Amino acid sequence: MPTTPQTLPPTVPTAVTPSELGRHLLTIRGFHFVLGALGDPYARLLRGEGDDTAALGDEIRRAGPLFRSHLGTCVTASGEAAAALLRDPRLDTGHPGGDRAHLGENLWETWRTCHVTPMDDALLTLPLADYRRLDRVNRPVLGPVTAGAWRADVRHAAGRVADRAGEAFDLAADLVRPAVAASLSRVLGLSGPGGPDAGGSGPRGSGPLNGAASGLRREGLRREGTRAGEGGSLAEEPGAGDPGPAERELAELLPRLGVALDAVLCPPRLPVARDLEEAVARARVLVHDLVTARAAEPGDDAVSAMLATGLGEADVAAACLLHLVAGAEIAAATAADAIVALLDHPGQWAAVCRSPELAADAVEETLRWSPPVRLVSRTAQEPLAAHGQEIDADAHVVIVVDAANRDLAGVADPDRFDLAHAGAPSLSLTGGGPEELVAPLARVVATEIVRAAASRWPGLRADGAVVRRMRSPVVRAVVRLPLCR
Amino acid sequence: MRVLVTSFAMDAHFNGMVPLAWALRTAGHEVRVASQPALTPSIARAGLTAVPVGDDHQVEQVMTAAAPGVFALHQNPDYLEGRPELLDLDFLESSTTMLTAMFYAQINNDSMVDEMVAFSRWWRPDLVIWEPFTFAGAVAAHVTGAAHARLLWGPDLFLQVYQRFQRLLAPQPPELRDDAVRDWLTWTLGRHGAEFSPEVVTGHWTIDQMPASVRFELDQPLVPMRYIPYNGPLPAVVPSWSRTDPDRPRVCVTQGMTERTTGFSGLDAVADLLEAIAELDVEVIATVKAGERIRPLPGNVRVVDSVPLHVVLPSCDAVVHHGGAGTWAGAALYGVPQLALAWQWDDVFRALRLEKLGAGMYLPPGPARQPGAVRDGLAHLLADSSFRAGAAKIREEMLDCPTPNEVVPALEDLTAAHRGAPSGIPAGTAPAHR
Repeated sequence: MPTTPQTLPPTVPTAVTPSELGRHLLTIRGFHFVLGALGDPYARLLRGEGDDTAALGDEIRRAGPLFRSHLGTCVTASGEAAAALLRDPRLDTGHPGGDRAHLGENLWETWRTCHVTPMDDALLTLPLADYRRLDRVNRPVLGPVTAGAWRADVRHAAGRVADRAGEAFDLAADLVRPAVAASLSRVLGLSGPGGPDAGGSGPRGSGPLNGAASGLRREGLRREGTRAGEGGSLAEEPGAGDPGPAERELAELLPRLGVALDAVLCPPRLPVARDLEEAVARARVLVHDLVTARAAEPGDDAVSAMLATGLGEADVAAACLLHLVAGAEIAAATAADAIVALLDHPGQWAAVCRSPELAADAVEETLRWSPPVRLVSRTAQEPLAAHGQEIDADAHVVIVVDAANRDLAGVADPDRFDLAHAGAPSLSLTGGGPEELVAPLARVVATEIVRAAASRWPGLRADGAVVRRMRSPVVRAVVRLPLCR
Repeated sequence: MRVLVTSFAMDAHFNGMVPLAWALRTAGHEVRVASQPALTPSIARAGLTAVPVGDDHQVEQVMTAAAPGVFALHQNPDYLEGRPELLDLDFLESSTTMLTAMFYAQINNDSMVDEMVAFSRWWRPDLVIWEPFTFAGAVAAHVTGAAHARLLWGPDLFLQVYQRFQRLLAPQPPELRDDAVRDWLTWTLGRHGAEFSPEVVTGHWTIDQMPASVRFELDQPLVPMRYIPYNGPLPAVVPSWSRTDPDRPRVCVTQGMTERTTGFSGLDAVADLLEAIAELDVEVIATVKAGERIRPLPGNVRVVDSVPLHVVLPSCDAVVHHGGAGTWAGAALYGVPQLALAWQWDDVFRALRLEKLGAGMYLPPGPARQPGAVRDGLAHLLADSSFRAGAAKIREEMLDCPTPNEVVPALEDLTAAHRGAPSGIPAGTAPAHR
């Protein structure tokens, strides 16, 4: 097990054996199936497969603005209630007092299914105040206004991946996953300026991914050329080369990390949970090495820029880890679902192919219609009355974002995927949690992947069925879709 | 050889193992029976040698909370009536997940599994015979290299459904295969340094006590064995009233022992039922627990707390029961036509087989089970001699099966063929379970 990087909050040791973790996850999975068999729509949602999620959202909404699941959770699929709860300062990620670890509890007594898998090391269940603090380093560099400055880098990275695709390829494995890895590798500077990943003929070097903890080669840290702005020059870039080792490791690591967003509410299989633990530990080392390297010698990347805010290495490292754990999965899910939805609506695909700038509208509509974070989990810090119901202190509250989005006022035909909905209200990636922090960069990455596909392959079509990750009720991640171009 | 017999602590699941355990014993083999401490008195009253392992399981508390959902799923008629080919992946994954979480992993609690493995490492059994849900026995055998076999108490619905599940999982991409029982056994074996192997679910072979026409042909080595009634730790005493032939048709009404003790019962309103049946010109022997004698009953009804089935069944013309494994098999062995008021699990399948084989009738829950309907069904069962003939055929099939004594040599040969090297980390170096 790697040592705890000092730049990040210390790891939280899990004092349970694999068998105990397995039993904990199995028991909660059992709860979901038992209550699902009795028709509880929230339990059925958490099963993560075998159901029409839109219909379950409707069922929850019909039960009232706050549906009380037999799991003990207050669930809302109402647009108005969801919007209010996502803003409500009396809700937070942990229990009052901060507790959010239920391993080793007797679940038959506590029935606590709110923090299924410990996610503190992945920083997904920090108190909301911590995300507000982290946003001070993130916002000037990768915030809603600033993230667009990385668009040209992302466009180049995604384009390079798209150019490698053959006549027949897989949406997830050959386009979305490697493009997200290439984009993040480049924006965060993981491949290291001048390193093997930065391009064919540059001076040899080694970024943190390559050098890991063994130390960095310091030559050639400064990349030639200037920060490429929106639509800026793409000179100096290597063309359609193969990804370097840093990018390849990231492409392998990011899908493993992506399970984290689901694992908060839905128990993964034990081997997946343990693999996630390892992946998070590895990501923490990468981030630590990256931040340490950029602190010593800044490069032309977002981490260096965040460090330049002077707000401290620890928060830069934490923000960076969130981009890897949450941002990558959100970008991948959004891009994949956007392409799936567009291919299901050939007229809209044709429109984006004719005008690739519509990729941004496609991403916004995907976020509304098929959000990458469908369930947001909160705990009441104090008793509150909301929407005609009492919510006890310590009660678990879940917002079903996809269903709530379809219930917001001001959207005509909300159940339909339609580029014309551009600008429609949406609650996706709001609420002050990790997903809001990483959203601006994830939007840029998803948009550029859609754009890369649409601008190259007007004849793109599905050549099989979409396969989604199992036990993925939050992300509903696409793991496979064969495509022909 | 050294033979370890194991059942989780529940009499009904252990009782069917007692005659074979004794056959092995009288053939000169060393026999131990491992279970949670709660079963120790029952093992001892069966005259066998108990090895209490681990803490008692808490399955009754768990099932009290989980039963409604578990039963709701498993009332699927394709499951109950044995049409696995119609079960889809969603049902099979749901069933496997629920039963593993709420039942298998509960009755095979970690401390029980771990102590059984520890005992086996020390005692080194050659053969482990396990009740088909007591996977702890398979784990202990697999870790120590013992041969191991399942001893069935009923038709092998579990394996039939599990094989269907495996067939549907196989074409799925590996990352979409969600088999909870395999996952649970994988980490349980991993705790003892061993890897999962499919025999841990199926045993090296299966010993089947069902008559041929109620048995499944599954792709697995099978040793048929005659069912020998053993009704558990209650004293087996021949009552004086049973020592003469009845002057009218005798009908036994029983709800078995398990339904009397667990609170899950398909036999409601026993007194109403007995009153209705007593309108027929029959003598009724009813085994019901004391608390259910709620009002005076007609003179032709004899209520007894318990009576050994092998004592009373040979004199019976019909039996009315809840569908349980022991009662069904006892009645089948003595060729008694059965009226089965089954409602759950394998009970329904066995009841339907009776109908198919012309040896009895299945009255499904609902109007068909009103006291008057049960009385009419019983009258039909008694009046139509074809039921007696159908029941006799099943009896013949059972008598054709080798007795436990006759099965022992086959078990010796199979043990020699399957005994292997231990696959777990040798004793002393295994990671201690915290």
